[in-house]
Amino acid sequence: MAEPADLLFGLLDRGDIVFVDAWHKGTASAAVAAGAGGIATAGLISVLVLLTVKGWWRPLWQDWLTSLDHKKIGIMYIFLALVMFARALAEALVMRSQQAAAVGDPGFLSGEHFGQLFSTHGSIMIFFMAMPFLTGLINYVMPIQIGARDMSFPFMNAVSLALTAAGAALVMTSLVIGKFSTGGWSGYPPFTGIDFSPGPGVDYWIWAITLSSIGSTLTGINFAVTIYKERAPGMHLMRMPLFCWTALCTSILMVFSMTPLTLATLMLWLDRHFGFHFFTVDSGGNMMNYANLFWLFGHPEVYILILPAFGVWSEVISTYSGKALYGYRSMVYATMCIAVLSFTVWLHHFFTMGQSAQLNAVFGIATMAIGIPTGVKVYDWLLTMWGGRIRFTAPMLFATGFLVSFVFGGMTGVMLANPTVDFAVHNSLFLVAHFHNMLIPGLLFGMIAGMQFWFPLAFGFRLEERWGIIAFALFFAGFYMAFMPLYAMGLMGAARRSSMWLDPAFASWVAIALAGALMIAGGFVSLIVQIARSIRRRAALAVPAGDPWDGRSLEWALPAPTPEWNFPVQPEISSRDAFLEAKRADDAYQMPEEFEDIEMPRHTGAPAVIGVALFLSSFGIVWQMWWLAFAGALATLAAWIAHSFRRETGRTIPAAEVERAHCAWLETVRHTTPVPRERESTPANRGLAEEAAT
Amino acid sequence: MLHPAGEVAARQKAHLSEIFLWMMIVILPLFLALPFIIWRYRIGGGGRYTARWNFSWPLEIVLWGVPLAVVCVLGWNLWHETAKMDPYAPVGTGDVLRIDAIAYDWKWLFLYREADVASADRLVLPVGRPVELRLTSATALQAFSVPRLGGQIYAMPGMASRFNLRAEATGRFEGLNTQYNGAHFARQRFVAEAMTPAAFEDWIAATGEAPPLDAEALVGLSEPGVLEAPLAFGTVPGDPFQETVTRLMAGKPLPGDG
Amino acid sequence: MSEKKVLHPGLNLHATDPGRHSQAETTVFGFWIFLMADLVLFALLLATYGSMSAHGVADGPGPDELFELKMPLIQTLVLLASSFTIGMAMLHVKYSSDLQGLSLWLAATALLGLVFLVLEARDFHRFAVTEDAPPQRSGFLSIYFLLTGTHWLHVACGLVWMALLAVQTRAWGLASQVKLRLMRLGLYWHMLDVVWVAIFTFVYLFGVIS
Repeated sequence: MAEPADLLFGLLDRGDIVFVDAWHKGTASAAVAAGAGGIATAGLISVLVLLTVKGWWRPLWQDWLTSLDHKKIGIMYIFLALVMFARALAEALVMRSQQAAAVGDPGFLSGEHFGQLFSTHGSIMIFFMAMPFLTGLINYVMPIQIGARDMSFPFMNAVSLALTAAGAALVMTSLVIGKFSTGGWSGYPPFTGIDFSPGPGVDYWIWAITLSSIGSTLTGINFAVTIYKERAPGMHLMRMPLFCWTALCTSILMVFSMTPLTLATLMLWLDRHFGFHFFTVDSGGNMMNYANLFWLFGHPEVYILILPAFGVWSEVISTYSGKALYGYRSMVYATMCIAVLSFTVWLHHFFTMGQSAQLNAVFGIATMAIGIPTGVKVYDWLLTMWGGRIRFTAPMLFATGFLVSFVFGGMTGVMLANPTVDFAVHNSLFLVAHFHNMLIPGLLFGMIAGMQFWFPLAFGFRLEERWGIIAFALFFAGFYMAFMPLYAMGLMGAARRSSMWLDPAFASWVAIALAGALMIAGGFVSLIVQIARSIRRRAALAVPAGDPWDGRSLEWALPAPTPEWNFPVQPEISSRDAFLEAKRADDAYQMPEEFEDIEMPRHTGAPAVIGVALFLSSFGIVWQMWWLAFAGALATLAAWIAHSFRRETGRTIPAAEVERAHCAWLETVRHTTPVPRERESTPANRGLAEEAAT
Repeated sequence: MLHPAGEVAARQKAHLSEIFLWMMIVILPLFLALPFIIWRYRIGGGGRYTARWNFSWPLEIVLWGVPLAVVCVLGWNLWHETAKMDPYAPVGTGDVLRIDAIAYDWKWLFLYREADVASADRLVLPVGRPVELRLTSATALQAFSVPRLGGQIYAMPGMASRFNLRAEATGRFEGLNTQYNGAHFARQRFVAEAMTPAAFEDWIAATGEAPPLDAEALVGLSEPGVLEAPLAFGTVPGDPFQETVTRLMAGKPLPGDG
Repeated sequence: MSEKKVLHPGLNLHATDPGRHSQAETTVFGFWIFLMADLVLFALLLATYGSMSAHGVADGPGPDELFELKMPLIQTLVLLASSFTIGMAMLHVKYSSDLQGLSLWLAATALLGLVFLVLEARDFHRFAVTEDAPPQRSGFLSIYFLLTGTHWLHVACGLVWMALLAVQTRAWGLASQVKLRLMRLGLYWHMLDVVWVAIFTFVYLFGVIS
């Protein structure tokens, strides 16, 4: 055991600061780390300066950080996701560069630094990019799609965001103070036990994902209850947009699958610091229990990641094809099958751990079975396009890229589902290529397409097409260049998480992969350029009437940006694709007979305080600054209790205000020229759709 | 895996190709249909616009039925292939050569029980004879893999796992650990050499002249580091494999630790 | 706004607070789902216990050596009694606005809960110190302490929650918010009782019998 920690600073030492460490070590690897820490610090300082100079502190606090509005929370989640995406993408570039430089050569990164990189890359992409992104999209869109005013539990919604942000802050802190785990995103003991990973790195990982996973559990509860209980009258489950169905299944997966992760990491923490024996080699510990617990979480997790993207594809493809989604019922059943089956396949992540052949085979067959409903969905999307009038906007291009690429990844998945093949390529680059093949064209493209599709709702103007198409081209080509070589290398026997290569045959492959990674980074930059340019041109891109794409579901039946209360009066639904049917029946854009006062949740600073307090508390736990850990936990409790003593948690928006806003919008609609779909991407599109010629 | 030199790897490659072909049934229609649909049904293209068409029973039957049938076939294959290629079952008939393997940070030690010799970072095998490895790790979780001979299995501290293989051709093949275990993971390599049975016997005899695998040698192996060149040991006193398993289970440090 | 059917009959908010009455359904339903997630936690702990009580004993004491039935039985009866008392408290919430009756029954529940915590803590101390069976001794002991310790912490949090609600009841009377919170506390408390029955069965009863 190490010496007892200092009372004030715990295990913290000046040498833990990355700049000091680089100064002492003077290696290229340490310089890279210091550079990364420097960028993060400079970034944070720039943001603080910007906020101060522009006087944005007050609106940030009053309009955003204290808001319980699902729309604002959704936007903040996506913002967090994009920031963390930038970091994890940079890490991927550094890793690719190292591997390209390190054929028969140690390269410029130490093996230990490389270990941190793949661990943060994976952990960030999953917990702090993908989960927030999908949570943000569902948060914004789902309540409006079901005709509700907000989530069932707005306060808990904000707390979930605060937890996720606290976890992200912890991971960012590890860039500057101390080191991160080198155990990968899966963190297997005994390597992550105290003997092989004695520093604070694994603890950073444990507490960051614990915060995130608790946030996701609460989010899952919120989403599920909202869909079950807040639907507008007439919005039967079988009339909901597919995006809501995938949100429902995702939320059920969240509720059930996050807990095994929290338990596994808690047990690991107890093993590490309190001498417990859950996963130790001696005294009755069993490391295989970790693999079972982790993957009991881990497999449903990847379906949590992909189902919302599937939901996006259903919306995007049907809208931009101008057609009803093919096989709605099949899609719903397929989604449910996928959700249920996702709990039955976890063992395929460790076929090589020495189980019997029969047990392996059972799980292998179950794994292949999931391919059936997934394949049905892919073909249903294809058939949605059949007989349509397809416009190739940026989201639709991403959809096409997805359809082509995802099935290839599905095929390699079926290959990996066979234990015999898996024995050959487990833990190789073939595996890495497979899951990136599912996540990039599936999840990432879906999130980007969703963001571009629904952007007008959040901000009142479209994103410009040109840079969206450039982004697509770079992401698509970059993905193939970066990951096809990995399939080849995996079949040639290359292991994953390798900081250098001894086989010169890999040289050209890694060079191509690096070029691909640079293209992907270019794609991300293009997205930022797209957003920046669109903000500058927002007057020309504005779509105040609210329906730029001739949308089918309720979120398009409102002004853009969506008003705080969503619907002026609760809609009554009588069919699927409710808004489209109303438009075709000339029944859209009506004036309600009567307006009522609307009660909305009041703003509160408690979630923000909880987020900061939990960040400080978990920082204290990681560095064994117990006073900080307790203080943070107490502050969290105090904020929560203080909030519970608030009697008036709502505020009323008077009917007159709602009526005024609605009338103003209908006036705008009356003065807007409807555009045919051919002019959808031109400035003539002010958000009103001309009926398509049938 | 693409250039198998062992029975297991050859079977794996064949199985992979088989899966690929069956999956084409499911994938090819998409690759063919998508460009057609994009062209025909783009706005301004020639396709007939059927805004409300969204279901067809015959299509449903095909869409659910074909993948189901393919998965049934693949599942049947999977069951049989998995049973046949169980790493715990001997490959082929004949006198099984038993070798113990201990995974260290960052090297491998192979102990030839009957011949009473040992070799670090070099696994020498006779062609055509079934080999059974018994594996454990002296450190954290590791995985033994020789891609060209086929398959891999985890080596776990405090436990013994088994792996069966058989070389079909002579040659030198790369062996590695595929489970990340620290800073020098990327350099943890061993060479698997398959020789004719006669050459194998010669090698055993020659290795018998090497220094013994005594306590000092074991301490040296336990020290974290990469071997610059394979080492050979002429005799193996005691049972280092069992010792490693037992000591770790009892929570006692191995010689050279601490 | 359309008239919603009376969906949650247990709280009698309709007459005075119709908005919160229809919201009650959602609030309590959400809490049930939270309880489900909590039950998943206990289920996993019990499953791990099942595996490690068989294979993780190493050279420490096993369940048959360590456990006896008297103290766990007393703890079970105490918890069951506390479920009864909190049930009585909830009846007061539903049928009368009798604050004093509610306070009495709630206090009885808290007392019984405290007794449970003290008895269990003494057990922990006895195992860890006197019998040299701390969690650090074996995998089996680690999971035993984590399983029962997690339950202990849940009960403790329940008591803190109870104290808070006592304060809020005093401050606000039987306001709708308070009624909804008491309802959820009651559900939470009953769930902990069910979990304890499972622990008693699978840990102590099975341990002594085996």
